[in-house]
Order: sequence, then structure tokens, then C-alpha cells
Amino acid sequence: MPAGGPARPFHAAREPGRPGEQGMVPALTEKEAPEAGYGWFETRELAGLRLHVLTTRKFKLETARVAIRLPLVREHVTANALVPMVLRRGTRRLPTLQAIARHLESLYGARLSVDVGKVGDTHVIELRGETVADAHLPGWRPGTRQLEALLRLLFEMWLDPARGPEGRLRDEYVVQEREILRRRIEGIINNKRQYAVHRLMEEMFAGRPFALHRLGRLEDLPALDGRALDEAYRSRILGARADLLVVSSAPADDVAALARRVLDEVGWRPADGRLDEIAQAGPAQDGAPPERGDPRVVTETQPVRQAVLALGYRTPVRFASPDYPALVVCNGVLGGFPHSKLFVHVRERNSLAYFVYSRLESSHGALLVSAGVDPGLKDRAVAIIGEQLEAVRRGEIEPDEMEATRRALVRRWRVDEDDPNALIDHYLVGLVNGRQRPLGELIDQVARVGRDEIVAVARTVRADTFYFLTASEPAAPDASEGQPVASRGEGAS
Amino acid sequence: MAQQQAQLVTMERREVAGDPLLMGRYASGLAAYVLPKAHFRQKYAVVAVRYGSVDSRFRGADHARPLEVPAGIAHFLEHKMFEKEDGDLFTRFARLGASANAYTSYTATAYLFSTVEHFEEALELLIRLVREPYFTEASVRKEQGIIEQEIRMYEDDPGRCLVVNLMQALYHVHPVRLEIGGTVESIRQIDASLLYTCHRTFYHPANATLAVAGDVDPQRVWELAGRLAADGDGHVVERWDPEEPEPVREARVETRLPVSRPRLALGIKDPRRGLQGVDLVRRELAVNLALDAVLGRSSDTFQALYEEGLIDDGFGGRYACDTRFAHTVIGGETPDPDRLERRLKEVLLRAAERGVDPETFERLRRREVGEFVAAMDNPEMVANSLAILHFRGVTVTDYLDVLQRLDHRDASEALRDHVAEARMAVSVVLPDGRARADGVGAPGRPGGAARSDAPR
Repeated sequence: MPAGGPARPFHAAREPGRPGEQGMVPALTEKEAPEAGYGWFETRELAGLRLHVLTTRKFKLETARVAIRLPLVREHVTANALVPMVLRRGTRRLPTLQAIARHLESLYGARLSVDVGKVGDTHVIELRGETVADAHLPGWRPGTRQLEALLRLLFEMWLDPARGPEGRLRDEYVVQEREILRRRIEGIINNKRQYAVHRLMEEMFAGRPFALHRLGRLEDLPALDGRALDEAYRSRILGARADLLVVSSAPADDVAALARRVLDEVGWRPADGRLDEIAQAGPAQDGAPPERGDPRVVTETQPVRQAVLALGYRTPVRFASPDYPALVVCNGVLGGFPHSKLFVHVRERNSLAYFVYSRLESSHGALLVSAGVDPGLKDRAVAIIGEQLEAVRRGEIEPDEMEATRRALVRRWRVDEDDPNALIDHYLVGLVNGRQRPLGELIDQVARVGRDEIVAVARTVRADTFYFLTASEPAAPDASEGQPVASRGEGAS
Repeated sequence: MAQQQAQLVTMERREVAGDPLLMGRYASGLAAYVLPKAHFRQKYAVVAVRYGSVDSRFRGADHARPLEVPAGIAHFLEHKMFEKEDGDLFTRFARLGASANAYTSYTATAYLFSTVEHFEEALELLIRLVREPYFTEASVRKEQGIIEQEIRMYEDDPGRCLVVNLMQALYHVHPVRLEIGGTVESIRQIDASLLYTCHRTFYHPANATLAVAGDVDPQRVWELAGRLAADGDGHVVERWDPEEPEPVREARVETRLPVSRPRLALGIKDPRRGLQGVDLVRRELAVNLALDAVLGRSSDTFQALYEEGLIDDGFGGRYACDTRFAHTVIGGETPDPDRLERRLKEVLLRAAERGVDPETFERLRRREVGEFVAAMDNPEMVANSLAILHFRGVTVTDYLDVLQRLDHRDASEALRDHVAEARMAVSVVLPDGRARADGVGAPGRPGGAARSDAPR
């Protein structure tokens, strides 16, 4: 399909991210599945590897993912991020990037990638693949040849990587990927919007695992030579009790048989239980939000044309809390959508910003607000954001706003059902949190959330840390007034 | 008259990668596409108008002389279409449970929504959105603040700066060198009457298309699309592009930004302009497959540059074309822009001589077929592709046909024709030394730039 080229969207109300970071953890229930053309994930134990298969004829793609869940900890975060980057460089059978790329092209443009993410205090290492299903290739019949080739690649990448003469991960790959990782970490600063959010998280969760960037820390890199990384690979990745998530047109039993056969051929030795505990990294344990009055303010200057605000709030309400659905609706009313209060007031009524949104870190009870504004007008924007949160606390929510928010949430969850990777993401977040919140249940709950519940949950939301990335010399006059940056109305409950 | 214009005059059904594709044309010239996707929850619709940032000089039916308009006006108009006399349509979409958005590119403006319920009401709203202009001086002034922040946001985006600078180096006078959103200065020249003029000139059924993908009732789409087709008074717009010299304007442009690493983009201005329909699609596919053969992930060049540390996964190249301009942009982050530039030029010039070998070409074509099929799982991508291709005079099935008929000789020939040093320019973004991320993840803070205030 032709690409559209550069384009200017009308709005960018929400930053793209992983579902866990958006505070949405829906999952489908069995009973609503048939009309969508598929059921829900079925789980099979494959000698230590947990296989989760969702069978559907809806998609032309076969999608598979190996996910390894590890605790997010300072000692391991950087090595955990680097290992998959090295694994993707080559396997014993296909030892170079080029050999893999050529093989993927022959498989009609199959895709293979690696990623690391964080959900709560869990570091998730992922090997991802997708390919067109046999039935949809010109002149092909239904079957699992493409899926088999895809699984083989994923398993080989995970279990049978290219090795050097000493049987370790190849030194030159480690050195090259370490350099790439260094650049990626240094490059976090290049995207100002994401950088501001990352910096807020770093300040807000200082001393806790969630402050760590998913890519790790620069100071760990020098020590990560071939030997150290191979040790990390052997002790934490190879033989870990991983989850294999598959969305396929084939039935779960067929996928299980296929996966077992390919695993045998690749030489899989089941996890011996030694690594079980590390797969049990659960949801975040943060304790209650600190009792503070005004938020802590962190200001950083760079020669930017636009100031980026990232305001961090805390609430005791978490993903597993009974009033979590109320928090989701509260966030939607405040700033989750282009009909929300922040968009309407900060952007449409006051022309202060092009982008402004709020979102949840549901595993941590954090709500963050971000906007890009003129450096001279940031205090005004902060004040309006504070006023809007205060309006929610006072229950100033029109029936229209409630209704639009409920519908928008339902739409977002339903649309995700059309995307195999979104389905896998949701399921994974449920796995990490040790609790699936089925989509149908969430939709029902959201429908029952009334104004009182929103007000109650909004009153638990407290300003914690405000982060500003701004130019060193504000241009506009109202910046020099020396107003406290803490917005009015914060801390009231 | 309007009744007549709204008549569906032709209807065609094709098959694309196992899905049906329905295409209808109305008396006024409007074309509409429906791709029914059984079992999909999402229903997606886009109305696109063939009017983008390159349409900076034109003559409509009621203009005696060509009009020059401020840069960024098509994009400004797109923003203002959401506001009507009775309020903001955004909120109406939200009430229906639909998520609306719009975008402006070099050559088109598109309005779209995604929904799982109330599809027909949302489609009616979308049609009203593009048909009814309503601008006041106050609302225009209000939008200037928002768009100014949008422009500032892109000014802080190194990838965007790299490409904008490249366009200005490649082109002397062609309006593709203008920023899609214009500049803070140019958008201040926009007023309500100019917006009305642009709307009247370009927002015409024959200059628009509707594409729908999802589990919808096609019959209802044809009926509703009739409203979009109505009232076309048959006027035509003439557009001019200035005579663009073949060589580039500047061989190299450089800027400094607060980024961690340098970036390089190498551009090649295509000598071919004015291609239409299947010819344009053939050119696009041939050049892109050739570029993939030379620089793509499976190429010797990619492998070598990656191992040398000159490029990373973000490196890539793409030939972008339209009926009025065409160019290639290749690049990414690199520690050594000068060396990467030399290497890329060498490789491209050598490949233009040698051509593309049949085996590589077949493998890449196979990948392209797979990617085409995969895209059919994405209603949003399909609908937008249908709209883009419509303005080139083809549809997605033509795209697949051309792909199946191409061979390595076409790719080799296209590459030979496209690549020439005089038509190359590079744009470089260098770190200005003021962005230090060496504290990221560290217990402290980046070198002195941050200050942390005690709680008040």
C-alpha cells in the first residue's frame, strides 16, 4: 500500500504507548466472543512454556510473541534490554541480520522484532513475529506452513542464537548492540514530549523500580561485555518460564502440537523450576501516595521553541482496586480524549496548546497530564489544568461529558479487538497484574459509574511532582511574575 | 440539479486479497469506495479532498486571475472546518461514540472518524463537516494560537526539521518546499474570507472521495454519500506549479538542535513529473523496490553500514511521489554524516549502473505482496490508501496488478533514470551541545540544566 508521506493531524490528544501504560487492561470474555468471530485465549502448558492461543479467522495475519517477565530492578535492567537486541542479530541457522532479513522476505514479508517494556514493576522482554497466513497467499491453501516458519524463527532467536568460538553470544554483536543501546538511551532526549514524561516518572518514582527507563542505564554499559551478557542470557532468558502468545487461524491444539514439535527441533530444554520465581514479578508495590501539600517542582531548560509540561498526580486507586473503573472514567472526563475538559479548555477555549492530555499509570496509581505550550504561558496552562481537575472534584460534569467518555472508552477497547497485537498486549498486562479485567465486565462497570463515584475518586488525586521542560529565557510577559507553579486548588480533598 | 448530481451512475465490484471492494461514482464526479470487513468491530470512514499544502497558487471558477495564498492555509482550513455556527462538531462525534480526526498532507486534506456504533449518524456528520464552511474573524484568531503551538512542536522535532530543510534544499520554487502547516508568520495572514475562497474552490464533489472500511451496509453508504455528491456546480480549479529547475537548489544544508546525535537525510529529486494513474504506480513501485534492493535491510549495504556503526534500525529510504512532484528521502541517525553521505552516494551511483538482480527483485516483490495482504487487516490503512490512490487515478487492485507485472528490468531502469548526483541534496541536523542525556537513569540530574525546587 502506498504510504501517505508527511501529514499534519488535527489533534494528537494522547501519546502513543503500550496499553499497560495507558491504564487500560481489558480482556474479552468468552460469552461476548462469538459475534466478534473468535473466542478468547486458551492456555496450554508446554513443559514449562505457557502457550496462550486465540483462534480466529478474522485476520489475514498469524501473530506470535514470546514474552519473558522479569522483575524491573536496577542491577539487571540494562542487561535485560541488551540481550534481546543481541539475539535479534542472528541465529545459528541464520547468523546475520542480512540472512534473517532475506528469510523474512521469502516468507512474504514476515516481520520479526524485539522489544522491552515495563508494566508496573515488571520488565517484559518480547520477541515478536507476524506473517501472512497460508490461506491468504496467492495460490496457497489453508495450513500452518507460514506459522511454523515464524515459530521456528522466534524459538531459534530465543534459544539458539548465533554464538562465537567459545560458545557464548558473539562478542562483536554484543559490542555493536551495546553501542546502539547507548545511542538509544542518549536519544531519549530527542523526542521532547516523551522525554518530559520520562523525566517526570524518574522524579516521581525516585528510588523505586518504576523510575528506571525500560532501556536501562548508561553507566551499566561499559561492564556489559560478551561474558557478562552471555551470563545474563543464560541465567535469566534461556530456560525462563516464558509465555508464548499466539493469534492464529489454527485451533489451539494444532498450535500447541506445532509449537511442541518446533521446540523439540530447536532443542528446547524445559525450564527446571529454578527460574520460576522470576516469572512471578507482579504488579507494583508502591504503598500509599505521600502526604504532601504542594507538588514538588522540577524545571529543566533546553533551547526549545515550546515548553513541555508533565504534571504528575497520585491516587491510592490502582488497577486492582474496586473503584478503578471510576478512575478510568475520571481520567477520560479530565483529559483522555479530544472531548475532555483539558482539550476543550486548554486548547479550544484558550488556544494555549496543540496537544494536551491526561493518562493513567494504572499499576502505580499515577495520573499524568502533559501539554506543549509557549514557554511564557506555562503558568497559565498549569492554572487552567488545576482548575479543570478542581471542576471534576466539584462534580461539574455534564451528562454529555459522561456519555461521551463512556462511549469513547468502549470504542477504544472494541477497536483493539481488531488488532492481534493489541489483543496480545491486553492479555499480557492482565498476566503481569495477576488479574484479567475482562472487557465486557469493564464496559459494564464503566456504564454504572456515576458522577458521585468520579468525584470521590477525583478527590483522592493529589499533585505530586510537576516537571517542566522549557526555554531558558521565557519570552512572554506573564512568565516573570514569579507565580508559584503549583496550580490553584491542588491538595484540596 | 442537486438531486441529479447525487445519482449513483456507475458501480463496480472487485476482489482484493479475498475481500470485496465496491466502487461507486456519482453524477457530480464524486467517487466512493466501500470495503466491507466482516467481524471487524471498527468502522472507519474518510473523506479526502484533493487540496494540500502544494496548492499555493490556483484559479477557481470565480477568479479572473490566479491567486497566491499564504503557506499553511489548507491545513488551517482543515482545523477550522470542525467549528460550525451551532458549535464544535468534535463534540458531536464524541457524543456518538466516534473518534474524529483530520490531516493535511502535501496534496490532500482528509477528514475521518473511527467508531463501533452509530456509524450512519457519524457518516452524516462527516459529510456535514466538509460541506458547511463557517468561519469568523474571532475563531480564525483563536486557531492561530493553537496552530502556532503545533508549528513550535514540530520545530522541536529533529526528524521533521531534517525533512523540511531537505525539501528546501532540493526544490528551488516548487511549493512542496513549503511546510505543510506554514510558518507562524504565514498563518497570521490568513483570514475568514480567504478560508471561504479556498473552501469554495476546492471542496467540490468531483475533487473529493469517500472511503469506508468495516462491517457496514454498503447500500446505506451509497445513500448517505449522495449528500456529499450533491450540489456540485461543475466548476474546475486550475493549479500551477512554477517551472522547477532540474538541479537541486543547495547540495547541503545543516542546522543545529538540542539533540544527542547527528542525523542525515539524503534527497534525490526525480526528473519525472506529471505521471498519472498506472504509470505513476509503476514508477513508485519500481523505484521503491530498487531502493530496497540497494539499501534495504537485506542488502549488502545495510549489513555493512550497520556493522560499521554508521546506521541503526531507524535507517531507511522511501521514494515519495505524486502527480506534481517526486523525490526520494534516505537517512537516519548517524555518528558521521559526512561519511554516510559519501557511502550512500557511492552505493547509489554504482547501483544505478549495475541494476537490480532478478533473484533479489523476486524476493522483494514477494515481501511487497505479503505486506499488501497484511495491510488489508487494517481498516484505517486501507481506507486512507483508497483515498490517496484515487487522486492518482487508480485503486488498490491496480496497485496489486502492477506489482505482479513488474520485473527486475523495470526496477533497474527506474533506478538509472532516478539517480543522478546533480539531483541529490543532503540535510544534516547536528547536536548543538546543549542536550545532554548522560544523566538519564542516573541518580543525579543532567549536567546542571535542571533545578529541583523544594516543596513549597
